[in-house]
Amino acid sequence: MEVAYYVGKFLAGGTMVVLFALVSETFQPKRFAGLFSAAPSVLLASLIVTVVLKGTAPASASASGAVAGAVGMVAFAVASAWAVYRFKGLVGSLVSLVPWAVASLVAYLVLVR
Amino acid sequence: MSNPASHDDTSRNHFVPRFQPGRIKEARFRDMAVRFVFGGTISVVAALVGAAFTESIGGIFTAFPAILVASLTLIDKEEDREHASYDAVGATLGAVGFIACALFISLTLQRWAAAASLGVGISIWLVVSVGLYALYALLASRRSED
Repeated sequence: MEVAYYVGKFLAGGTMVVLFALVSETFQPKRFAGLFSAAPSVLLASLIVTVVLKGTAPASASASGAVAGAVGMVAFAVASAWAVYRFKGLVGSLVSLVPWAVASLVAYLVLVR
Repeated sequence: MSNPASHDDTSRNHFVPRFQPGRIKEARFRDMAVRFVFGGTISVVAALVGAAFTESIGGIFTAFPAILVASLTLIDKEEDREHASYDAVGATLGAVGFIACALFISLTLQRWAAAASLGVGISIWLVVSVGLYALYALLASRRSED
């Protein structure tokens, strides 16, 4: 049961992310295609597996945590628009994880807890 | 200046989304494999955090920008920083749509049929992010005309 749960999470998460990435590849310009980089692919995949194997109550709790995570994602994306230009892809992304962590935590404490 | 219409076209075309299904053939297996592993791993991490703490803390990680990190890094290698930066602009708008999607699902998942809640949730993401992009494109193309 537990192994199936985590294997299911891995396969569903990977598959959903690749699906959204393929859709993103078919669109130009990059600014529009970028929408799909922030698609709720992992969220959907995770929720489907949780709903099927554990029911809607834990999935619903997980979705409310995702609201806080999504606030952090906005902070990450805003920061990275500048940081990727200023530094390089990987370093810029890593620098942007600081605002992600701060914004997610604050949003979680204010909105979810 | 002799042909203002063509000037308009150029500034607008910069933002108008173009669907090019043929480009899917250019998607490289290695890039997709990297994204598969990123996506799968973050799903498992979110589940492990959920099991170790609470489901809602685990949920934070289902919105972890792992795919953005992968995309920005891959774009930066293949193209240039300016393109990676453009991608981040789109991602900001997509992330705002993500908030709306997650909020909707968290409010409806226990009241609606799960498939309906998830289906409407992803539609909300699409409508909000594409709507914000349209607004951004309109404002940005106006500014470039001035």
